[in-house]
Amino acid sequence: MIRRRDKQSGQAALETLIVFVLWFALVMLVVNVMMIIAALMLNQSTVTRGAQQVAALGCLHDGIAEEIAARSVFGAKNIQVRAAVVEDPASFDPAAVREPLADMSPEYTALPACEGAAGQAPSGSVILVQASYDQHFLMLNWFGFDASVPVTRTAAVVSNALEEGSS
Amino acid sequence: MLANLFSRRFRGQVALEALLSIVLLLAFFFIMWAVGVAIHNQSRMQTATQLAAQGALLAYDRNSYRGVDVNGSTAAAKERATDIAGRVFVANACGMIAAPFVQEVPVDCSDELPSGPRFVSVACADELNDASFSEAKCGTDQGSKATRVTVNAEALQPLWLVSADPSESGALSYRLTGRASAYSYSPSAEAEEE
Repeated sequence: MIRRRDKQSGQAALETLIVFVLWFALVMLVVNVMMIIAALMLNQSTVTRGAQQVAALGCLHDGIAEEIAARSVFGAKNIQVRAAVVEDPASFDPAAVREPLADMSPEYTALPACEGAAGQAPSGSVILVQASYDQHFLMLNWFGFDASVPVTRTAAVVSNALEEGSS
Repeated sequence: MLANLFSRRFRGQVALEALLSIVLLLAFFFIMWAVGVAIHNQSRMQTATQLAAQGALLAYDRNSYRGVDVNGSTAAAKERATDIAGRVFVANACGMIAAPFVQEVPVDCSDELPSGPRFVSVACADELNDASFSEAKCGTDQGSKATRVTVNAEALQPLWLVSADPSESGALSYRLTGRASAYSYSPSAEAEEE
């Protein structure tokens, strides 16, 4: 009689454990998905902020790339920041922003680093700032599994940089 | 015998409760996913609208001379501003994420630019006061000191597609909206007159 009761309570404990494991896995999934979405949103916001700074300068300052990298959140690693300029906004193709800057059409020229007025994007041109990084799944990392997906965030802004001679 | 029957019934009930709790948690998972998508896409919509308004204002100011209409320059500037706003909006709205079990996103990265009279509106005034802005004050002979460009954008976020077209009845969707204004002000015109 006592042995049978022990067996029943053992089975109940096993069932409880199975349900708990499923609950735990699903709650972790919810938290993971929410963190990934939050990371996409916050990192997009950081890239947009950086793009507006680039638009004001007309060139890619090292500090902006570093700031974008420093402000990235929730498992964004190996961040690379690039910028391109399209001097004639009429030839700016919005569909191209998904492509890595290296694969873009010839109208897009890489925005140079800020080293004097030469190479500065003219005011009125469209500037694309792109940050590529590996988005790691934090929850999986905590449990010892390293998984990541490549993510690219792009912001397009119109340059309002002060040109030489303007006041 | 009776105890055995009771035990089996009890176990069945526990299994049913466990199943129900898992189903509820799964539903919670998909609801939270959809909420996350909604927040992300609305944020992206608003950011895209704001950048479009800033770009359009810059384009308008560069192509019009302090609001004075010289050889139809105001109409051309408006057209240019609308084009820039559309391109910048699509570029920034591209990258929205899809809701669970749905492939369509509210704004795809197509070449088709948003248009229509409500998408971009340009208004001018002699002072920075929202009540005094009017479209009729743009492109007058006297010009104007302040310009306001407003961008209004809307898109349907498909939530659960019963129909292939999210705008058709039977498809569950909600409207994402973005509205942003950008202002410029040139008090120097007044100083020059004085």
